[in-house]
Amino acid sequence: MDIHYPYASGQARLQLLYCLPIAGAPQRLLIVDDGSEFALPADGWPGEVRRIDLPALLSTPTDAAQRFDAVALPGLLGRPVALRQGSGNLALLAAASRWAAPGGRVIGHMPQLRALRCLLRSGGLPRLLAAQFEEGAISSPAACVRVLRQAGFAAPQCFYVQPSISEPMALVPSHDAAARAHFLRAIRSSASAYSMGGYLARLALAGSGLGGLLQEHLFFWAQKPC
Amino acid sequence: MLNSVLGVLAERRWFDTAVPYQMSVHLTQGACVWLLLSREGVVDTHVKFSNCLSLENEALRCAAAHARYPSLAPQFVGHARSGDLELLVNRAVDYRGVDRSHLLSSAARRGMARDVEAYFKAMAQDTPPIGVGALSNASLVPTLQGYFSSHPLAPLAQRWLADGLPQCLSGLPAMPQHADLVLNNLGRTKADRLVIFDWEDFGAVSLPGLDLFTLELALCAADASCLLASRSGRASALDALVQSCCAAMQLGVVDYQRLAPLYALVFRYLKRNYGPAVRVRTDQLLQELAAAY
Repeated sequence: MDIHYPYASGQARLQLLYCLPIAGAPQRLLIVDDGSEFALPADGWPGEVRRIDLPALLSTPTDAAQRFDAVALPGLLGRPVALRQGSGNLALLAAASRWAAPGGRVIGHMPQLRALRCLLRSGGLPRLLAAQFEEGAISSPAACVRVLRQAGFAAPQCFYVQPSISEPMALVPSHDAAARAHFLRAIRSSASAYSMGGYLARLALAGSGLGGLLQEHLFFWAQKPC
Repeated sequence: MLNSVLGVLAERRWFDTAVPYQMSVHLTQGACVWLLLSREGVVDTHVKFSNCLSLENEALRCAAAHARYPSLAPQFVGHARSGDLELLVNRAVDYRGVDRSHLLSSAARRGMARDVEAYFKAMAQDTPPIGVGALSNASLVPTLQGYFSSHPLAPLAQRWLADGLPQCLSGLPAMPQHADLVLNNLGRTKADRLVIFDWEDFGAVSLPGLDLFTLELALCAADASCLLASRSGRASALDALVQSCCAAMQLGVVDYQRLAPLYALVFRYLKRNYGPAVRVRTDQLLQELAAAY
């Protein structure tokens, strides 16, 4: 019989992305859910899972016994403040940190506001501009790493998601040289998938270090210090 | 999970995680994840890992492939198990993709195509690797009959397997095959030399001509009708490549062409381990070939 594999669906691969940074297994995971399109399913995780909504994350007091090995923030950072009950990125990360056990991880994905597709959408540019005036604004991987550090997390990492968060196939490092090399390699090894014009345009963008602008989402994780 | 993987790499001294590095994470639609570890954009180490699939056999195959084809297969570094996690580590190779023109243009005949011929020539001198779960040519037909007995294409498989193919098979030598020699698994280095990836099925079968069939099909954009048209048309660069590769393997072109249905069945059998989209495409290939065989 044919073998059926666990990561065939985009949803299973998204769950896998959230499992990868968690140390050991099974672990206690807290999923923060604001009912958006980015919500993660509650079932299928290897350890104990609890879901809470955003107001509960922000307002519920926690004690040591309630803390989690990982706090998942799917699609919550980088969205307009109005959609997050008035909380900025830093307030959200501070609340996540309260719920995380020492040494625990905060993990999440978010739109990359400066991605070309985001900018070309209706309201994309005003949204990017508005984010610049928000404390702890995140519009790029470098800003994501900076804000995670500012919120007190250690060893922050931020990646581009390729090709999309609903059907993820790769996390691309945001380090300039590594990202440039990755995007050049990816384009050159699938040259036949593009028209000549599309190929050359992508190659030029990647060669000039701007390949990340084609990626709509970022994926990040960081560790709460012990 | 990533910490465990990186911990094993450091512990075994397969990759120095103390020196700054970057990591790309590549997901698959199967049961594995792979990491590409690089430094300042220069690729260094390729790590495949899984917590739900054994990579032991694949590690044996990768090691055997590099030992036999050191200039074509990435350098095997090691295989490790840590709890329910298994890792397979190879040195990464910087490469660019290969398309038709790299194998069929007149310039290719001096470079990449010559490396392909050299691979087939070396294969003819090779013996099946030991301990990798190889399927001998003698057990091929019964295995295929068993596999396809409950498959939707069972009537087609039965017709082909009862129709002279077993006799064609009897006189053939055993030549270990890469078993997924398609354009996606070929790369060219900066020096314009061939590199072959994805040796996970290496030696699983030893049916001479299977690799050439998958390559020929890939050069026809995986379109069986294009393959058949190419075979019945005028002499072309693809014909020339097929003939030179057959000569390198000492396999008659007529025998090779006659065995196409068997190659397609074996390819589909090997693809039972791949994602559903690949299996559907391979089933389609079998149905398209049915018109001619």
